[in-house]
Amino acid sequence: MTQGYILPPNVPASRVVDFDIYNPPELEKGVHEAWLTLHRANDANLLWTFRNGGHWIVNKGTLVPEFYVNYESFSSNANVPRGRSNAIPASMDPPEVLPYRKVINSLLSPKVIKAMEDNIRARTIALTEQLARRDGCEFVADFALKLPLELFMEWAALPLADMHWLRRYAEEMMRPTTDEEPIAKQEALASYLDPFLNERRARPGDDLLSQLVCSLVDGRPMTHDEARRIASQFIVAGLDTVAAMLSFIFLHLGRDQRLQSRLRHSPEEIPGAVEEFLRRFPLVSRPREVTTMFEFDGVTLAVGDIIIIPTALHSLDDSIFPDAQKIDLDRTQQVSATFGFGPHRCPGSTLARTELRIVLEEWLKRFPEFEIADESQVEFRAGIVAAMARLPLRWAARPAN
Amino acid sequence: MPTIVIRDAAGAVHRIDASNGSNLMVEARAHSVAGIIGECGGCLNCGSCHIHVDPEWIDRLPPASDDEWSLIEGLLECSAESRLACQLELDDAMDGLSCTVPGPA
Repeated sequence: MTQGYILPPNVPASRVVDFDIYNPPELEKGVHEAWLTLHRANDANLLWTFRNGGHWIVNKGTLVPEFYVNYESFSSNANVPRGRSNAIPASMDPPEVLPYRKVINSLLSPKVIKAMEDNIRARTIALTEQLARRDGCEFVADFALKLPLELFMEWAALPLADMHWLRRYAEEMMRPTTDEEPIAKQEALASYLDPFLNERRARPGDDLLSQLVCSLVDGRPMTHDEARRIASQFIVAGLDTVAAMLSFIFLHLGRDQRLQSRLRHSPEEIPGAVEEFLRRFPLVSRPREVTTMFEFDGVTLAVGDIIIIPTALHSLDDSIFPDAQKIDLDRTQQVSATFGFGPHRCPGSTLARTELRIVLEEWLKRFPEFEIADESQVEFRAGIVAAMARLPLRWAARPAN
Repeated sequence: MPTIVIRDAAGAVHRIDASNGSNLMVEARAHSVAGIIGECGGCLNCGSCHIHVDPEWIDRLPPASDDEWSLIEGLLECSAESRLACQLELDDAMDGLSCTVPGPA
């Protein structure tokens, strides 16, 4: 055990593991694999890791929904390592969060996303056409990050030149490399947004930020402070997750030529495949903070304890999804944990599904069979939201004409 | 114990003997009604349990709250007969309720 670490009195030594959520053992084999390895090596439903200040880990897939749903015992105002944030809505609990979710849900509703589809498709085609002239790419930087970022920047009417700067902020929030408080990182992002929000309030357009600053919360106008906290969350949550999901999907397809060929020849199967990919590659392991003493699985969760709830263990639980590691397009769909459960269920799910579907449709139309160019260069990132850092793909170049 | 009739997104008709006090989303999921997903678990965060209630029934149900209606308005197939199944708490007065899951989006 690490020197100087004192186990809290409510943590039995038998529950202690060495698991850094930001750098788990054998991360090079994959993020989902790292969670599974932890799960298979430990029978208990609740584990305690002394990394990152010490926190619990839910180690059983079937328990994941109830820990996300039970906001009365487990507050969303939690971070690993410990630290406050003031994000709206992610750090708020019901009932406080409800009027904000109402605003956000309406900004991201299926009707709104449907109206954006043609634009999403046009941008996707433009990016894929550029890449299809080559014979390979680093998929994460060359495509997976670019598309959702470009779409978001355009929707929010923010300068495209700021795109990569913003992404680094999102990265730092999800997978921190410094000990700075989350609230300080959020503040930097919010300060960037201040002039844009002021400008949109004065002269609203039809962009996302204008709609946000002009919306009503419980019947009254949204304040500047609320708008900057919500807009910061859009950036943190919207720039990172679709990119990560695309990367995991293309890693899988690059390794599975039969599935590639099946989807290329039967594009009508793509929407179902998107659901199965979403199930198979969940990204999120959110923290919760215990607010009332809770007896569970033979241990006492003390007020102030932090719990990490890995959605990966729900999706990869064979008792929920038989042969869970297998991509099976004929699976009878069940609700997966990928978009979460309860009051914080992802409000961007329709946008995510739409982007993923369109990318698969347009990419498979234009590209020949592709594969991983160099497995040793594939690199994963672990944290509150899992991601990939590098994914080199290659394919046969189009004959010059 | 009310009996509810649901025509699902795949065209199948389900007759569900539901429990009083349960809600229609939970009952429909328990009977694998295609198109009723209930992703958020019933806390008005997703709209994935959208149904169209038969016109003769719509006024016999407790009206939708503002929060429910605000979510319904953003759905692709919203109509005057739209409801979210998770918001319909079942009781004997709903015996015979008949509804349809809107077609695939």
